[in-house]
Amino acid sequence: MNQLRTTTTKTVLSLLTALAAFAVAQTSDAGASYPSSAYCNWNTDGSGACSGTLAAFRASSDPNAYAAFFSNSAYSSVEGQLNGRFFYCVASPSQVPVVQTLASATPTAFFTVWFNTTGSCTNLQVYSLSQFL
Amino acid sequence: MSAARTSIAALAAAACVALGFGLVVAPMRAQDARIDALLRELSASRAQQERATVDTETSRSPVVVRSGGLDARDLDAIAARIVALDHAEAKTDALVAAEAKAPTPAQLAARSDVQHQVDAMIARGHARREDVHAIGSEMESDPEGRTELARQLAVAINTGKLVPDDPPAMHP
Repeated sequence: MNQLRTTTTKTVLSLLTALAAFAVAQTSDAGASYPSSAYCNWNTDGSGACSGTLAAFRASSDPNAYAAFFSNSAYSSVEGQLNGRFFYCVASPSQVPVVQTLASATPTAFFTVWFNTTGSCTNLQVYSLSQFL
Repeated sequence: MSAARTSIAALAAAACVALGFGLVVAPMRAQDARIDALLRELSASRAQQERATVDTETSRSPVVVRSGGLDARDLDAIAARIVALDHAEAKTDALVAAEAKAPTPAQLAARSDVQHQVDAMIARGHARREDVHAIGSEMESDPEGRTELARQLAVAINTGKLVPDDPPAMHP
């Protein structure tokens, strides 16, 4: 009888310890947090702009959506697809460091690219936001 | 006797006033003088910091941090610097472009040949990876030509005239 009581007590204590450890292990996130969405706008002349994070393009409802930052020995470019349409622009020499930064940035780095009617990126920016972590 | 009492009372009152002045008013004045001196010192220090900030920031950023807020002159100065930086960036790109060597006859011939292939590809409306790779191989030794080709593909893609089979089909 005593042995049964000891075993029950041990079990209850083990469960309580596990519960306490679980409660301590829980962390609470604070600060602003919201998901980024992928966005593109094309004008009728072929110019336009796209923005978002790689994670947002990946999470898009468009199963073919993607964004990419490309560099080879000749040029650097930004490209992608959203809602069935592609975008693609070639970076100017002064924008190449930004493309390289984006290529090595985290999936949550927010970027915006504007492209003109000649296929050039007219502006390119990268923005790291805690809200997208 | 009464006059003597009055005189003593007056003297006592005067002594109290003098004591009060010495204990309260004089230290307050001395404190005011010290505060004035500190404010002058602070003002001089701020002016020096602002000059240093302007000197440091002028060459690399359009934004000047000032402790006293921005006025119309500051905004004009910032706008002028942004224009100057834009011009400097455009000039850098133009210099890089100008430094590119003139294409050789072989490169010109390759560009002409490739142009036909690109036109055909755009007419087809479809960019296949093998086509773009072939074009890239033909222009391997012509980075400027490849860059220009990438721009042509970009224009066709952005206007919806050309659909790449997959991402690598975008890069000659």
